Amino acid sequence: MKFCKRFVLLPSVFVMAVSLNAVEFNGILSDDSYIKFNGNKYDTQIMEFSESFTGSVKAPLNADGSTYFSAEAIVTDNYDVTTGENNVDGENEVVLDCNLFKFSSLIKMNNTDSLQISLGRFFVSDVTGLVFAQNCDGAFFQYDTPRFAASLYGGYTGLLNVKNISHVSFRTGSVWEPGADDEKDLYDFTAPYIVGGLSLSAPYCFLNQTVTLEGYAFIGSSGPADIDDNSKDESTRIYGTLSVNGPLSTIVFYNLSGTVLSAKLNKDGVDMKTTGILAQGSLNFYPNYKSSSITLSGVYASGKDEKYYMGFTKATACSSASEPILAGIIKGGIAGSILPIDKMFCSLGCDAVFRIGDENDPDGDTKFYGYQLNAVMNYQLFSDMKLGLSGASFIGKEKDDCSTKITVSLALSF
Amino acid sequence: MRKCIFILLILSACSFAAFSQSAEKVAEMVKSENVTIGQAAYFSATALGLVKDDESEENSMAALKDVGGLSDSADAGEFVTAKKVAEICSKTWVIKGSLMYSLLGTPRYAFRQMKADGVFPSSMDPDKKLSGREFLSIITDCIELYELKNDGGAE
Repeated sequence: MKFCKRFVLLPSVFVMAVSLNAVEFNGILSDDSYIKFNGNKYDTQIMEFSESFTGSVKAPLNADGSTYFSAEAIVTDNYDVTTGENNVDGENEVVLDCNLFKFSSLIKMNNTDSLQISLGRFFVSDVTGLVFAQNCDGAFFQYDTPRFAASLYGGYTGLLNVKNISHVSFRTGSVWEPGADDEKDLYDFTAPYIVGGLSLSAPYCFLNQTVTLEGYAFIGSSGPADIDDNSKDESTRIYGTLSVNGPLSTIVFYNLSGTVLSAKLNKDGVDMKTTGILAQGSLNFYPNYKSSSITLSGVYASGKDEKYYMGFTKATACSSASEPILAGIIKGGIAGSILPIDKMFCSLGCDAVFRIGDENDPDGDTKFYGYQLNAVMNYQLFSDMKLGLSGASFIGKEKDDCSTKITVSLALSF
Repeated sequence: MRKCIFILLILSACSFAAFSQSAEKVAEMVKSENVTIGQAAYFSATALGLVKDDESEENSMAALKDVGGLSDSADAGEFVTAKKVAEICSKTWVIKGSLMYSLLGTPRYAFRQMKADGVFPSSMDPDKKLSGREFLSIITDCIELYELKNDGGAE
């Protein structure tokens, strides 16, 4: 009975609190269209036209806005068509998703310390942004002091939409995709994992350098997704990361991180343990000229059987035709960005990519895979309308890996 | 704290002198915990040159209502919200940059454009009742960023 009373009272308190303060609604209409050519076959064009509407709401729950509720839903219509010899008739797919559903509160403990609490569905990222970076349902707590910060995260992935967020399965070594029967569904549940994370950080602990030690664990679980027994992933993955970043001078900054993955998996019916390594580093220069920046960066994700690295959230390692995940890859390059005129952002980047083995020969040697080039131009036509134009090209060692993609986007917020 | 208020008062008085608002009204505004529509209307009407700087709030409101800068139902004693201040500012200064504001001209989009221009903090609640100091800070930014309407605030 007590539980029932609380169940009725809690929403009432919430509604009363919201009614005392302003509720802010916002919307975004956007269009993203791309044309892509794989394997230098310019007579075969892969095109996608994607229109989306995003609606969001934010409601402060106290006078100073430090406690609030926010939510965001998105509906997207994707139209895919392929022309040329692999002609595929255009097909519409409508996807519905909830990107955000969060209660958040920032509690001042004293003049310097604060506790942040977030509950619900919201974006979470590990310190590298390459292992775990996605929306997830869960609870996040962070205690901040001027010299030390500690955060704890617990979550569950099984209620997310696989059409927008996918994970790398250790059982199959591939990315979860919607089943053929579910292609027409608006919402299709993704693979279920329990997520736990702990992060300890010492900001500006010496010479303004920040050191972060972080651990994330992912345990295969059960959920509403349609997954057959052969695909069910019951692996346990633990990622430990040490990250150091900070300034080297007033215009030079760096970021270094090393991640060790320890996992138990079942490959081809054989139980095995794997220890993978992900290392990345970047050096950023910020010359005091038109908000420009130059970045040198490199990433290494180990490959081969017992040293196999895999992230958790699906992330594309490079823009080649097969768009491989970040596993068994070495990549290094240079990128620059500038605001040449008011309201315009331009960036240009180039990377050399090497693969450690490949799908057909996972134990193979490290081989040059190709170069990737990318360019982005964003122009703020109005404060509430943005035009984007981007191009990415992969010049592979093998012709079949080559790919060129041109994307145009337009977004209006209202 | 007193020092801060004094400095703000001096700066505001200097800034507003160019727009004909009296130092007395500025001082009164600095002390206000919540700004009323009457007070806000005085600043708008004097900036537009519709009234002299010694005019009352009631006459300022009447002058603004005459040129469509305020609705006839506006109550002088009502506290202004951030969105209401954006509406009054949009009748006083030329606010550019938003497609939605250009098309619809509503206070919602004036408020959003002023947020984008940094006049309002990005986390500002549109229904927040503003203090005198917050109001003066907004008016100072408007004087710096926007051109005065040369049609006396008329639509």
